[in-house]
Amino acid sequence: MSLKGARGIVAVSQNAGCELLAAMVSEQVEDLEFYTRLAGPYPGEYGERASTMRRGKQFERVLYAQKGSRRAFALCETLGPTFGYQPQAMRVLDMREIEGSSVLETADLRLRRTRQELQSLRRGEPVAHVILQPQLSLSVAPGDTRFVVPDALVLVTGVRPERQDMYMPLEIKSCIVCRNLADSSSKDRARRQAAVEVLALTQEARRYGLYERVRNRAAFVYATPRGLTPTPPFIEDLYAETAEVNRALTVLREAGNRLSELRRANPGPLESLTPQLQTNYIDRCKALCALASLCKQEAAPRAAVLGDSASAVLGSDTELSRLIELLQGAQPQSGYEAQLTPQLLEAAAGLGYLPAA
Amino acid sequence: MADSGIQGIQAIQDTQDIQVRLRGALARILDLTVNQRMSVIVDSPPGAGKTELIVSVVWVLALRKKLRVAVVAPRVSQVYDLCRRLGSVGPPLSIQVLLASDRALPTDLSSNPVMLEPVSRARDIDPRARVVVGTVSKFFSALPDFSAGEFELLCCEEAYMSAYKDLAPLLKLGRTVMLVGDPGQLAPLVRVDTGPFESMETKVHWAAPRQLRLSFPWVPVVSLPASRRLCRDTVSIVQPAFYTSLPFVSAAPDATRRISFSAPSSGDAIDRALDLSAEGASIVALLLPGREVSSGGVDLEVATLMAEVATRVLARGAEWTGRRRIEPSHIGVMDAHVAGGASVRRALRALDISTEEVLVDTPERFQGLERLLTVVKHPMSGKRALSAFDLAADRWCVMLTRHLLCCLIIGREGIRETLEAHSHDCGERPLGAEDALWQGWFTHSTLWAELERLGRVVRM
Amino acid sequence: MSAMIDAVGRLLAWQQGSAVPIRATSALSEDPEGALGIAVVRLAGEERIQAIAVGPITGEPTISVSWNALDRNTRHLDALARTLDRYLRYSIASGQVPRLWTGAAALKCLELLAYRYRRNPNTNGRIRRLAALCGLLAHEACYPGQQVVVVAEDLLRAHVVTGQSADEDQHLGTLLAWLSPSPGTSALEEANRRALQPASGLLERLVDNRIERLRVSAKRQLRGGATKSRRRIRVQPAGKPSREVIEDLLREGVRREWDLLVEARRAFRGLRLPVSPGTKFLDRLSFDRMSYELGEDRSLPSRPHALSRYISELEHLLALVEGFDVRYDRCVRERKRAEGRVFMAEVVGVVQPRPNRKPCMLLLRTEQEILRVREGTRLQVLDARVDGRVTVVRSTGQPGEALVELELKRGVRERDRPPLGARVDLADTVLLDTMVRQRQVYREMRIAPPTLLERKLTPPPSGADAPVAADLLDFLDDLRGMTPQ
Repeated sequence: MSLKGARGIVAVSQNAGCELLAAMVSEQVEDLEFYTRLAGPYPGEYGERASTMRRGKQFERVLYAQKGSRRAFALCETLGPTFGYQPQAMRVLDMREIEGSSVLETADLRLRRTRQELQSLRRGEPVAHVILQPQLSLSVAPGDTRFVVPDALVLVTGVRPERQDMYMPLEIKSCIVCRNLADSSSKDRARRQAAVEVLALTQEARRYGLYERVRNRAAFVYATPRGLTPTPPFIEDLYAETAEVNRALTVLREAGNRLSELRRANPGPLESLTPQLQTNYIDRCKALCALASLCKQEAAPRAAVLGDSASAVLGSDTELSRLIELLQGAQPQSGYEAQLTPQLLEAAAGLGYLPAA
Repeated sequence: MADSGIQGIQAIQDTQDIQVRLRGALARILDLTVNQRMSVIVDSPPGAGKTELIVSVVWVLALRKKLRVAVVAPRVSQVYDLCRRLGSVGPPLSIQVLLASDRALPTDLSSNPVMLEPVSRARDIDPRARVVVGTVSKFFSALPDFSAGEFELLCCEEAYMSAYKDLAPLLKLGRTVMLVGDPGQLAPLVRVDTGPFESMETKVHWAAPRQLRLSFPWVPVVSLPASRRLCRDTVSIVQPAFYTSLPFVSAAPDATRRISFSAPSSGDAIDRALDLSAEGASIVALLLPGREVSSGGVDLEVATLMAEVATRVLARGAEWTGRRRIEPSHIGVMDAHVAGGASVRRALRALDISTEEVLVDTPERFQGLERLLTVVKHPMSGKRALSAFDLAADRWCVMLTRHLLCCLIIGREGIRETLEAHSHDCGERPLGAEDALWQGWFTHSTLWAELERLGRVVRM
Repeated sequence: MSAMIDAVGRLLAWQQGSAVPIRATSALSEDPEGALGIAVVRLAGEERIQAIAVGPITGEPTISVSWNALDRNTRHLDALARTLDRYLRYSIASGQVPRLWTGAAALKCLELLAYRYRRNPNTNGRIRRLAALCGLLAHEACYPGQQVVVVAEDLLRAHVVTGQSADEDQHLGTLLAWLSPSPGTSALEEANRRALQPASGLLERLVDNRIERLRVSAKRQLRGGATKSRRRIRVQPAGKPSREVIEDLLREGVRREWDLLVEARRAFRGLRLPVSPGTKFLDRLSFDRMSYELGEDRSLPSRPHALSRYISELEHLLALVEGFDVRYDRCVRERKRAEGRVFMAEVVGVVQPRPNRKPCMLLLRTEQEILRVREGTRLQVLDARVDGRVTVVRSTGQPGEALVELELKRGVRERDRPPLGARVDLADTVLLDTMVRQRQVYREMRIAPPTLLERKLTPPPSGADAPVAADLLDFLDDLRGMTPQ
C-alpha cells in the first residue's frame, strides 16, 4: 500500500503509537517494499485487488460522466437534491482537464486553479458548485508538504445576509451500502481520508481569510447494491477524525525529528534504524501495514496478540506466560497483578476451568 | 462589606428574576396546553421541577376544566411518585393507576382517598377517574382497549427515556400531548443494533421527543430556564458541558445550598476536598495516585475511599447550613458498574455505615432521585483504554446532577492523560449518524478541564 | 460475554493450543434431513457471485460458475434458484424447519442478490423468486435465536474462543485451525499458515487478478468468435480458451469454500455439545416465520409502525434467547452470575396463609454480593416453573448477605415451589409475552399513524415574561395555598 500523500497520514492516524509506521510514512517508504528489504519476499497477499480497483475507477467514471444535451454531470444529480441545487444548473469545474507536462506540474497547475476558485469565493464572485479532483496541499512538517486530492469539493451555500458559502470535501467510495450498513473499516478509512482533506482545505482557506467558514464536515457517496448506482450523499461531522489526523500530524513531525536524531549516529537506510523504533501491534495492523506479521511475531509473548479487547483488560504488555502463572496460583508481584488475579480466576471459573475464587 | 451587600441585593434580584422566568415558563405551558389546546414538548434541565410542572397542568385541566388527563412515565417508581404529588391536593381529584395485575399500590397511596382502586385493564377504568396514571409499557399493552382522544391531554414524564416506538402509539390517547423530559440524561435502552435504522426517515429507536420534533416541527418546544436543585456553581460546570443547546441557570440562592462541618479539618486530602465543598465548591474531585486497573470495574482502593469520604462527611458533623444535619440517608453513592457498587457497599459496612440508609447504586437507578450529597466514581478512573460505556455522556450527566449541596468525584489520577491518549473510533458509527462517542469524549474532556481550571481536583 | 471472560478464554486457548468452549450446550438444533449448504466465490468489490456451490451439506454440491459475473447473465444462479425453492417448499410442506449452512460473505451476497433482482423487470421470474427467497433468508438471519441460517464462523464464535484475536477469528480458515489442528503443527502455526489464504468467498489475489485479465481476453475471444474465424482466437498456454480457464479456476475456488464450510460443520459437531432444549421452541418460531413469509414477497420494514414492531420483536427474541441460555446452559449461567443477573439463594421462609394458594411469599437469603435485583424485579427460579416479583431487598447485617422477598406469581403449589432450606438459582429473565399486543398496537399505528396536529400558535407577548395564563396561575396558587399577599 502506498504511504504517500493522504494515505500515509491516514495510516499513522490509525496507529499513532507505532514509531516505525510513522517513520515509514515520514520517509514515504512503501511498506511492501520495506518488508522485502527487512525479511525477504512477502508471504501471502497484500494490497488492493485489480477487480476492486477496476470497480472504484468505474464508479468514479459513472459519476463523472456527462449526460444529456446539457452535458450535466451524473454526480450533480446525486448531490443536487441534498445540497439544494438544480442538477442542470450546477457549474462543475473539472480539474482533470488541466494537464501539465509532468505529474508535479499537473499538481501545481491544479493547485493554482483550486486556489483561484477559493479567491473568487472570498471575493463573492460566482464559483463552481462542484470542483472535481481539486488539488490541495497540507503542510505536515517544515519542508514536508503533501498534495491532497479529494474526489470533489462541493459548495455549501451559507445563510444570507452574511454569506458563508464554503466548499466541503466529498469522498466517493465504490463499496456497497446495504441497509445503511457498510464495512466499518471502509467507513473508518473514508472518514479519516476526508478529515485529511478538511485539514488541507482549512490550510488553503486560511490563505484567503476563509478559515472561519470551514467546518469539520464532509460528504460521502457510496454505491447501492444496484450496480454502480450511487447512494444519496451522507453528510457527517468529522470531529473525532480530524482530532485523530491532527494527532497523526504531530506524530509525523516527531518521527521526522527522531529520525534526524537517529541518523546523526547512524546515517544508514531506514531498515538499519528499525531496532530503535518502537512498534505497536494492534488488530488493525493487518489491514494497515505489510509489516503486521513481523510485528505480531515480536509481540507474540504478550497479550497484544490476543487482540485489542483482550489487551484492554489484560494489559497489552503483560506476558502471556505470566498470566498463566497467575491462573495457576503464582503470587501476585504488583498491585496490578493483585487486582487482576481474582478477576482472572473468576473468569476461568466462569469458563469451567478452575474452581470459583 | 459594601460590596458583599450589593452582591447580596443582586443575588436577591437574580433569584426574583429567575422565579419570574420560571413562572413565565409555567404560564406559557399552561397557555399552550390549556388555553390554546396545543401539544408541547418541554425540555427541562435537571431538578427544574418537571413533576411539579406536570402536576400543575394536570390540576388545572382536571380540577378547573373538569377534563380527563392521562399521565405516563417510563418506570413504576415514577408513577407512584407522580401519584403522591398529584394526590396531595386531596378530593375532589380522583386518580386511578393502570397497574400490572401482579402489583399492588404502596400503602401510602392505597390509603389516600383520592386514589381509586388500581386496575390492570383499560376497560375497568372507573368513569370517575379524572386522572389515569401508569407506565408507558402498561398503557401500551392496554392501548387497544382505549379509544382515540379519550383524554384531553396525555402527559409523559421523563419523555427522553422513552423510545419513539414505545411512546408514539400512545399519542392518539390525548387530544393534545405534553412531553416533559431532560434531554441530557439517560437515553432509552434499545438492546438491538440500531445501525441499520439510523438512515430511516423515522428513527423509531430515538428518544420520543427527539424524533417528534423532526416529524412535527410545528410543535412548540418550551425550555425550562432554571434548575431548582442545582446550585449556581454546579450549573456553571454542568450546563456548558452537557446542555449546550439548553441554557439554564440556578434558581437556588447560594445561601440555601451551603454545607458546613462542625468538626475541624484534619488537613488530609479527604478533608481538603470537604473543606473546598464548604467553601462553595459543589463539585470536587478527589484522586488516588494513578494506577491502571483492570477493566473488571472493581477498584477496591477507590471503593474504600468512597466509603471513607461518606464516613468522614458524617464524622465531621456535616450540616446543610441552617437547615439540618446530614444523615446517612442524605448521602447517595454512584458507581456505573454494579460490581463496583457492591464493593462500595462492602467498604461502607466495614466502616459501620448502613447500606440500608446510604443508597449505593448505578446512575440508571438514580435517575429522578436527589440527595444532599453524592459520592460518585469517575467512570474513567484507572482506565487506560476507554469503552463506549466509559465515554457515555448521559450516564455521567446523571451522576453529576443528583446533589443539592455537593458532589464528590472519586477516582485515580491520570484522567486527563487517558482522555488525551484516547484513540477515537472512526468506523463503527452508522452512516450519517451523530458521533455519540465523540460527544461523550468532548463532554468529559470539557468538564474535567473545567474542574482542573477551577482547582477542584484534590490529590491524595 | 464480558471482555474479561473472553480474554481469559483466549489466554487458555493459547496455552492449550486449541479452542476453548464458552458454552455448555449447542444454541443450534440438530440439522434436519437434507440441510442445505451454500458456498460462493464473489467478485471483490462488486459482491457479485461468480461461482456457487449448493447442495445437501452432507453430500456433493452442484457447482455453477459464471466466467463473466459483470454481465447481466444469471444462468449460473439457476441451480441455486431451483434447489433453494424446492428445498424451502419441501421443508415447510413437511413441517420441518429448513436449515442452510453458509458463510458471512455468502449470506451478504445472497442479500445483495435480493436487492438486485427482487423487483428487477429485466430478469426472469425464476431469478426474481430466488431473490425473494434470498431476501427472506437474509431477513431471517437477523432474528436472535433463529434456526434457519447457520453462518459457520458466527456459530463457531458463539461457542468457542481461540488463542488468537477476535478479529482473526473472523477468518473461518484460521478459526478452524484452533478447532481441528493438523497433526504435527501447532494451532498457532496452522492458523498463521491458513491466514495467507482468503476465506470469505474470495479467490487468492493472484488468481483473482489473473481472472480479471482472462476475462478481458475471453471477451475478446467471444467477439472474435462471433465475427472472425476460430483460428484467430487466442488460447491459453494449456490450449484452453480463456473462458474455460476462468471457469476451472472458479470451480476450484468454490470447492475450497465448500470444503471449508463442511469442515466448519464437522468441527462444530466435534464439540459434542448437547442441544439446548430451548432450541425446540426457537425452531418453531423460525418455522412459523418462514412458513408465513414464504408465500409473501415483502420488503424490509421501513415505515414507522413496521420498524417499531420489528425492533420490538428483535428485542423480545433477544430476551427469550437469553432466558433459554440462562436456564439451560451452565456456562452462560455462570457468566450471568458474575454480572449479578443470576444468584443463588436459600429459601429461609415461606409465607402462605392458604396452602397452595396465592398470596405466597418466599423469603430468600443470598450471600452473593453482586446483585441486579431491586424492588419490582421479576425473578424466576431456574430449574422450576416458579416466578414472582421482588417486594423487598434488604441487608441481613452480615457482610455480603441479603434477604430477598419474592411474591410468587407462578408455582405457588407446594409441589412446585422450592421447599424450605432449598438452594435455588434465580434469574431476572422472566419474559412476558407481549408480542400479540404489540402486533395489535402497531397494526393500529399503521392504520392511524401518530400525529400531532398543527395549529396556529399564538406567540407569547413580546419582550415580557408577563403570564398569559394569569388566571390559571392564580388558580394553582390558590390550590397550593400559596397565593401571594
